[in-house]
Amino acid sequence: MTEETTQNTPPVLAAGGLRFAWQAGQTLLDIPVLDIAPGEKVLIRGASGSGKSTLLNLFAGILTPTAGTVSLLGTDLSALPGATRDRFRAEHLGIIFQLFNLLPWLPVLDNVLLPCRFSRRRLLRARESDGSEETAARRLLAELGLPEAGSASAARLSIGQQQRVAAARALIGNPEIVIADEPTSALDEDSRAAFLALLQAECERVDATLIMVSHERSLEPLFDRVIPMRQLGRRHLVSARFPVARLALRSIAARRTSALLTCCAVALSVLLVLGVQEMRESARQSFASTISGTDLLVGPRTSGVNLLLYAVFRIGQPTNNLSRQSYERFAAAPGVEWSIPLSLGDSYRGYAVVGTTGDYFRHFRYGGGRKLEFAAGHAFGSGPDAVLGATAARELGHGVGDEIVIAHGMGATSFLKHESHPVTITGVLAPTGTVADRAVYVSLATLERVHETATPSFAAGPRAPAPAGHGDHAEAGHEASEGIRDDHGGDGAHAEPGEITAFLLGLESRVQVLRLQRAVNEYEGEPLTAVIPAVALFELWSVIGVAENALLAVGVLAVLTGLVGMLVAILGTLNERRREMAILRSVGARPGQIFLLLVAEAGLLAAAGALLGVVLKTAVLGALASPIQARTGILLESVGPGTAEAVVVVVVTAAGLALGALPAWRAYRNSLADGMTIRL
Amino acid sequence: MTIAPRPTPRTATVATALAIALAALLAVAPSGVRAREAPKLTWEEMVPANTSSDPLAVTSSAPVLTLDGRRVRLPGFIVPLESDEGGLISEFLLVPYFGACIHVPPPPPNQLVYVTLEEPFNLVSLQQPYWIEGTLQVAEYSSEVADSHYTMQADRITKYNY
Repeated sequence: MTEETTQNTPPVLAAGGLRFAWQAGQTLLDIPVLDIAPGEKVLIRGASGSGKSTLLNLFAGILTPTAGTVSLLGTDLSALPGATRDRFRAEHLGIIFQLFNLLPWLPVLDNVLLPCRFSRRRLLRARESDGSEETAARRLLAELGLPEAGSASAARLSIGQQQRVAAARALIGNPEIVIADEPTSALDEDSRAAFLALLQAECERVDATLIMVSHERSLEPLFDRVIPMRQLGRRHLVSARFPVARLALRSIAARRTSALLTCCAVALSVLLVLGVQEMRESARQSFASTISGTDLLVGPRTSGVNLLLYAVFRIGQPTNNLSRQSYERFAAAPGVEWSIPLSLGDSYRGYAVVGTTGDYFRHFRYGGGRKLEFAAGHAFGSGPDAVLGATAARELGHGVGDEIVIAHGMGATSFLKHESHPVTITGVLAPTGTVADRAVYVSLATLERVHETATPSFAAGPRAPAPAGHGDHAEAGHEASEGIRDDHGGDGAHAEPGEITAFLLGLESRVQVLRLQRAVNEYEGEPLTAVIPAVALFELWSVIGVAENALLAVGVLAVLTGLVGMLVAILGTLNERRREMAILRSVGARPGQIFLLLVAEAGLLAAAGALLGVVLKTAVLGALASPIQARTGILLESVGPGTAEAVVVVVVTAAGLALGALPAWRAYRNSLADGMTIRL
Repeated sequence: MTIAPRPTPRTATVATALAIALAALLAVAPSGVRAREAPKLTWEEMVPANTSSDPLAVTSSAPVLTLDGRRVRLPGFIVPLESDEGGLISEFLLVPYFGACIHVPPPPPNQLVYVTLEEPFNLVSLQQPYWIEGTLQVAEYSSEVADSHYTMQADRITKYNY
């Protein structure tokens, strides 16, 4: 009970002129001199609020004295820079708290091993004494009466068991000093004595100095020396490589439900952004590559975008047709190099039937000037022949030589079929990735025969039944156009439709296009519209772009919402985690590392969410690709994650890290204020 | 014509959208160092001297042959002719006034430049005029349908600010 102990060896802990005040002028501790000898077992006893915990924080170097010095093992802690002090604490001090010593999300063994993770010296000493740190941990646990506890979850232990695990952690790697802050106050009388006996025996075994604070007088006889806090009312106290990523992962794993939900929120928002982006790119790409090299698209009077949509992309229905005479006139106009008539409105099992001429296969270009190729067979001749697009052939299971019967009308099913006029497939086109794959091509004459046999009163669709006398037009047309005659072998006996839906023109010189467009638009024979496909496409983008951007903005906002949700989840757990932070501080974590831990958690959650989003997007679009193509003809070319995905993952992760700084900052502040003090 | 496939602009779009929204990053790219600009050319200079300079009243459609091979900067509106798979414009007609297509007769050949681009570009709006820079050439045609006209392989396109 005396403060003067006579020891010959230098003290383990020496305090001189030590003062500490939380606020200027309100000195809590004033300790002129205090020496603690190696191997001593000292009890610092006092009531709550007497400054015991503050003293221990000063001893451990977590708090810096207002005046005076604290030397541990001959080292003046206040002279050390923060990082060195933290390392020093990790290497030479074992600390036991009153309660909540363990990280509940780590198994018992990992809890015991924590000091070895922060301090290389402790690790080496544990290996030196027991061969490996795991063996050391198991031995300590066994000696403390917990032989089987190693793999258990720390959260499942009783309080008494937890305290013994804490003792094992404090002792592993043989630190010179064990500091225990009311370690027995949560235990009943019997366990208290048993725990102290074990703790003291272990300290003796490794020659560790035990400094314990408690308010219990009944413990006094068990110690070499008792220092009443009263006496120190004018006096005394308080670290390594921090496995941030590992701890962050374990910490997240312990909160896996909320972590999973947070991840899902981020993932769904990323799915939305990437999905919208992919759809818009694919649609754009699909539209942009559907037609190329065509100078003018001509149809009946309508808007350019509308004409492009129904005549080229086959979206929507033509509302009107134009006469063959008009077509013949412009096909033969000076400067026109080639022309392709298009007659739409019919279907074969849901695939559009396109009435055209052999010029279609010769002159039509897509995807930046590529020509249509035949995968099998050749173009149709003058007979009842048909050419199938790649998708149509594959899906319908038809090949060259098969006979099909073309229905009347545009729908997926039409019941007006005429078995009497089957057509023979002469060729199958190679895939283009455009709407051209989803069509059945026949000559205008073949299409006309189909219509001749359709019962006029049932004839559905926009096309009027062919007028009886229209064969004259066809005759006239043949006179006017060499190109058409080639395609039909000059067989004037076949009736061709008197009307077509639209036609494409290619010019000798593209400079002529405005002039010819003007001529078509001012044509007096019939109200017509001529558009430059590239211009109509551009107008289409302008229309769609607004909706696309709105969707994308919604996606970006959803990502923000997901990340803010994550922030809320992390902030919400911060208070209950203050004690975790104190534990980490006691084993040598620096405030900066606490900050990093939380930032890393946020970053990991955001990154996991973003990656999950990419996986979801690939899966969802993969599953939707074929129904979308079937309905819209838009090919979703999902070639797996690309740069866009990488950018999104990086940006979302960076945003997560940035947002994580907020809870991290608060935890950092808490940990500076709390030190090793456990707040409940 | 063949146009080399280019990467789509989606990466940039997503990156920009996210960056702006999330990090409030303002990518203020200054227009930077300007290489020496080619001399400006006006549309009036593209009509031979003996004809009226009012483009709407132009009667002669012959190009000015002396302009052949001259490196110039010319402002005008863009009528897209061809876009690549990503929707970027790779060929267009440059015309002196917007709406060259509907309200007024089309410009005569000497008031048109047929422009091809090595590097397809992202046209913002049909109403947006641009400065086009490159070497002007006169394509001589002797055919009865096609007139001689200007062509240009443009290497620089910048927005025209009123």
